[in-house]
Amino acid sequence: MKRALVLASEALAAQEVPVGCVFTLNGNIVAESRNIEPCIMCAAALNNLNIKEVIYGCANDRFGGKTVLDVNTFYDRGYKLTGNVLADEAMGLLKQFYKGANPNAPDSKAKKNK
Amino acid sequence: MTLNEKIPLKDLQHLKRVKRQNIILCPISSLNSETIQEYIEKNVGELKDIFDYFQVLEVPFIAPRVTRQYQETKKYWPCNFHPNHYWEKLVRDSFFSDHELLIHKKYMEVVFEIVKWQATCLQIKLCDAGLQDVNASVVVDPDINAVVTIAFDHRQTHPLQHTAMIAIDNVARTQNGGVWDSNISDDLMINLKEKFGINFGVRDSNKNSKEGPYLCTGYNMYILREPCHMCSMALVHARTKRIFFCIDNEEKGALKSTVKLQTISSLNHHFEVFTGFL
Repeated sequence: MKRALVLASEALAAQEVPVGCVFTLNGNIVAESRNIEPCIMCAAALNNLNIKEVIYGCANDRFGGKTVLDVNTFYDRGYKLTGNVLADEAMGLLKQFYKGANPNAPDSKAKKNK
Repeated sequence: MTLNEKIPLKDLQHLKRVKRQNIILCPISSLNSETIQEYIEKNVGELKDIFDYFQVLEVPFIAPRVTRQYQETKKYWPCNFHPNHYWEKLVRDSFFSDHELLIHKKYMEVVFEIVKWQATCLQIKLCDAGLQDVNASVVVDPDINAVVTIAFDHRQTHPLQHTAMIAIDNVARTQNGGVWDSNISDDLMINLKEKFGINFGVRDSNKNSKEGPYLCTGYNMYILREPCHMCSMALVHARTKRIFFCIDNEEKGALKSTVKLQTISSLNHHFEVFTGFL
């Protein structure tokens, strides 16, 4: 989870949504990336990949694949899920990011009319 | 007045409080093993002697959204109701004009044609047993009546490459993004153009400006089978305007069969879903 937070900080520095992710096998990191939220899409994708266990930082009450819609209930196998690991650190990074606007999104209608 | 202050209806605001000589006091779930008389004495003492009798009645739990529901709820208890013209139109059979219906059917036929192509490519037999293994989709820009992209399933070789995911990635590639290198066969595109007279293309836009297509904003997706949770949420992220699907996905479908993702209010985008082609 600490490595995931480092990746998230890198994403923040690159003006991307600060979410990091590592895949481990027998205690070793086998893959890592950043800017993946455990949203409903990702939670289902992880099921499609037959992953064994998912551990995440903070809950996502807008899109969360557990909080908003518990995706695991639709899959026979499912995976073990643990949330709120180093949640404050994760939330801190997200708050930093959302202080600025998403640079990739088009201007909102409200903004344009100003 | 006093009653609304002291015993508010909270989640049942759509109910009118009074029906002729009857008045709603509280849901029976509010009573914790006490009688209604005790409940009133505790919460609104000043009204403890004015009721002739009490009874338990069934009332509409959810607010009526369209006239048809309102007529039904009225039989139980009066509700507040303000008809929404767009919703009324949606639930009537005349939402799409005959011309529009022909267009939707045509694009669904294109989907079927791609499925046939996929079955040939992947050597899948299109009997019912093989249907689980095929799925195809077409993304259309309805403003210019043109196909932005087409895609079919590659889940046998990549567990995340469901047709909708590939289609979204293809759309991203028209906007200088995308990560997968799935190529659409020229032969298939020529075949579809000749057979259905459809156009492929994207709206003209200035590449340096933020105007112009953004993800799937304003686009419609036609897809053979109801998309799963992963694909449906990807279509939310992509801001797809409307989804048209043909066959229910009873085990994994997320737009009708297991859940209706488009009705989850916390999500930041809500598309419209249509089915019933068969």
